[in-house]
Amino acid sequence: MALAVALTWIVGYPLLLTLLEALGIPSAPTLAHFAAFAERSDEWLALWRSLWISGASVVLAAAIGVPLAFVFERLEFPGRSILGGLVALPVALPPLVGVLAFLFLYGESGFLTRSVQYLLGLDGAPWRLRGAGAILLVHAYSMYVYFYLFTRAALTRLDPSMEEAAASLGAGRGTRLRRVVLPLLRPALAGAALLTFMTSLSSFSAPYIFGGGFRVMTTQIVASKLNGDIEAARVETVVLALAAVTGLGALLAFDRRRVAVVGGVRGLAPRRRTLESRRSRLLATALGWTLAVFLLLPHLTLALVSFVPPGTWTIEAVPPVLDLSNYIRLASSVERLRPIVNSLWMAAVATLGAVVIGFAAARSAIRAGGRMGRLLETLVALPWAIPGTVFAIALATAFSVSAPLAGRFVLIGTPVILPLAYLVRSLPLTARSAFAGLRQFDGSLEEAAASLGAGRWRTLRRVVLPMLRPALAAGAGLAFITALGDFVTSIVLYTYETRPISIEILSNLRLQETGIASAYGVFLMIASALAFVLWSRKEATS
Amino acid sequence: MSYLELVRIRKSFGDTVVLREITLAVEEGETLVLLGPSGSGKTTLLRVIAGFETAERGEVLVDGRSVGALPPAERNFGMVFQHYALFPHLSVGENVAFGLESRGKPKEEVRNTVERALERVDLAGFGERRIDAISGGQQQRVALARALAPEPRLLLLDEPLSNLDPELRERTRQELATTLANIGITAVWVTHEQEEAFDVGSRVAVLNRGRIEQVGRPADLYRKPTTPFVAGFVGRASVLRGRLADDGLVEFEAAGNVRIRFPVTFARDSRAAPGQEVEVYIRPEAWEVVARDVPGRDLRGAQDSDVLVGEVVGRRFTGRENLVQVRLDHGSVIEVATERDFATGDRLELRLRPGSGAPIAFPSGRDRG
Repeated sequence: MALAVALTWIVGYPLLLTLLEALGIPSAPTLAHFAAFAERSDEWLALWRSLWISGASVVLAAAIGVPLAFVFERLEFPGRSILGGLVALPVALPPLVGVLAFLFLYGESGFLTRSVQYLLGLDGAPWRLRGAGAILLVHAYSMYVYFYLFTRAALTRLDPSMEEAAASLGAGRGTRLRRVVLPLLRPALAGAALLTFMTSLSSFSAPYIFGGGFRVMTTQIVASKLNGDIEAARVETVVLALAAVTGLGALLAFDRRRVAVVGGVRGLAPRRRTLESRRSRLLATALGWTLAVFLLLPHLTLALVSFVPPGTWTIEAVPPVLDLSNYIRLASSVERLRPIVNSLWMAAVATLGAVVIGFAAARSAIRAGGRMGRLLETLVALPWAIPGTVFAIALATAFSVSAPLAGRFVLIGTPVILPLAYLVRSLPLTARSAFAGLRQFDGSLEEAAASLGAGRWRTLRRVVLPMLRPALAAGAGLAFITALGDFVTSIVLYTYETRPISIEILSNLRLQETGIASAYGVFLMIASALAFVLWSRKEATS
Repeated sequence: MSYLELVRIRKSFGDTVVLREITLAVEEGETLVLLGPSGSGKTTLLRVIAGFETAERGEVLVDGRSVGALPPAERNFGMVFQHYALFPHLSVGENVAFGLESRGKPKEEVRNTVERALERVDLAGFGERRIDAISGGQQQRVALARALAPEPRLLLLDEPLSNLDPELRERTRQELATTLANIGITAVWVTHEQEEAFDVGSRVAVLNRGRIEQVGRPADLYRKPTTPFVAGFVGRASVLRGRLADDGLVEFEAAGNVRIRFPVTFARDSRAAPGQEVEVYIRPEAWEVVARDVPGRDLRGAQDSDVLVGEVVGRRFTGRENLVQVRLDHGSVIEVATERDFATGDRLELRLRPGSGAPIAFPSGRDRG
């Protein structure tokens, strides 16, 4: 009960307050702000762009992710399992790092751009990485992973006898794919599509860095906020939240159906087709590795740029000097280390809080069941569907006023607000894994502990928590990665003292300190990859 | 006064009443088996005793004291779970030590007790093993050692053998019963298998639809069932419907006008008036085959007799004997145990084996569950 109140306070309440204040409630109820929104063509344009960019991202991500999943799940070739893991890596990297890496590879003064310019002997850059195309490129590149992972998982679960049955009925390979495999994959594909759509709807880093004048809802909101037009920002926030909640509703409805579909199918994974001829095996291997290099190239570039001393790489295709000077400059300045320390402690505190609250919420929800259970489950899942920008504005709205009786305190400008924001944003991740762990947990183990004289606390400490550790660690790893690399809520809520790494990357970029920015990026990348590896190993052993 | 007493226990889940007024006494040191089909409430009753379920009414008394207010952790009852519920993240030894550590026993004592407990179940030296690295039979013994280690005042076993394969099950149940007897612990053992119940229980309580039908020694349940349900559920029996005659014999209409008559005994508390319809429960081994190949025998004008005629419609060999299904000429099918071999289509003359005692009868129309 207390838990439900606390969750409502940090999750539901800020959103509600934002809606009420957008409507002018309670001081002066009005629809004027919404009317103003409806009259401005740039607002409609931003909403339209958000929607079509998201739709196009789904199509592009599917076009990359689904074939990739088939290749790695159905064919056997040297390096398959390593590459199969590498290909999923972008999901673990903070969006801002991806964007930064793209900038340094394909941007106007990017590595590839310069190489092409040099090779063709051009005067200027052969292309400009701006606008919708650039955003879509980044989205497709980072979000194909959803399609890739979902499709692979579904292919693993696919009962091979279905395909064999179809083959025995005379269906050729094409017919089997079209009539049997794809229809069976539909739930997974729908899930990936919704996930991609939602992620892309709330995407901020790519539109912010590459969008320029091309505004989508998230960048529009932040622009309004930075311009001091807080009323417009709130209305925009409400509109974006509504779009997201509609998406969540669709996802939940689909989630329920998916359980029914997948639950019925159990079987062994179909045998992988080993490529027989030497040539096709070589071809597949070469293709696989080329692809992996292509997918990892942005990050390799980022690493490369971090070794380029400032001012040394001007017109050359390849950087003339490489050394550790950026890292030395970073490590020798307290002011430059500060963001790293900030990000680390804020992410750690947020993760710890999110794990504790997520676990408590999952346990109470499962114990209580019924309405209370559903309320708790919805509350912890909500921040996942609501774009980060929306939450940032909502928290800024709720906690910029001192009204203790209404549960409102001034937290803006204090070191509390960012960890709180990270915590709320991480809650769905930790709670989700706690739910998954607890649902698999055999209740008779708790009874066995009780019959052996163990009280509640001892049962929790010695039986429940140790057994849930893999699940909780998985959630914590994801939560930590998310909080460590957060950009979208930070840009709305940070102060100079609490500035996290992402904000520091941005300001270094503005100062043309690309080397330092990359060094920060590399740090984020390594920390995230470590957490990801640790997490996937935990999951494999559970 | 008995060691464990259940007094008028009632429990329902929603609208479904699972236990109705259960009253039962278990003597110190005995193993009482709760036997019943699935859904009879036996596991729920065990969980009420353990404290995992709370009864709406009634009391659980141990040594004359109610344990109703105690949470499971404070009752000091050991429990062996159906799927063992061994802690997979702890070793065999740590599992056995768990209950001792819960009670704050000193380290040295815990170590010694664990060692002894593992020895007792023939698992000395297995302490360091992982739970998933031992066989199903060994897991079962670890579950027992873990439950017994803290020296509980009562041991509860929920279908403890159902996870073992049949061959192992029979051997394990002997060992388990011997261990319990050696320790002299009071135990309540839930099972749905009659053979298991008879093998391990000093007394057996038969449950049906939340009620106790009968409590007694296995032989008494078999020979002197007090309810039709027990007569049908415990052991095999064929049911014949007849009418009670004035002289106390039961009459059956056979082919033609012939009447078959033989004596029956009525279960305790049940009597039938002359002329009333009764149901007679007859064990397969109570039949005797008098003659074979009796087709075309003209029964017209024959006298009343105690011999029934029928045709073999099915048979199976159990390893000890043949169980033959015979369709009697007046319609019902009975099961006959015989050492002889018959083929489908054989016509047999049957009668009740002399000296096997009169079969049990109940007045028809009583609730038989």
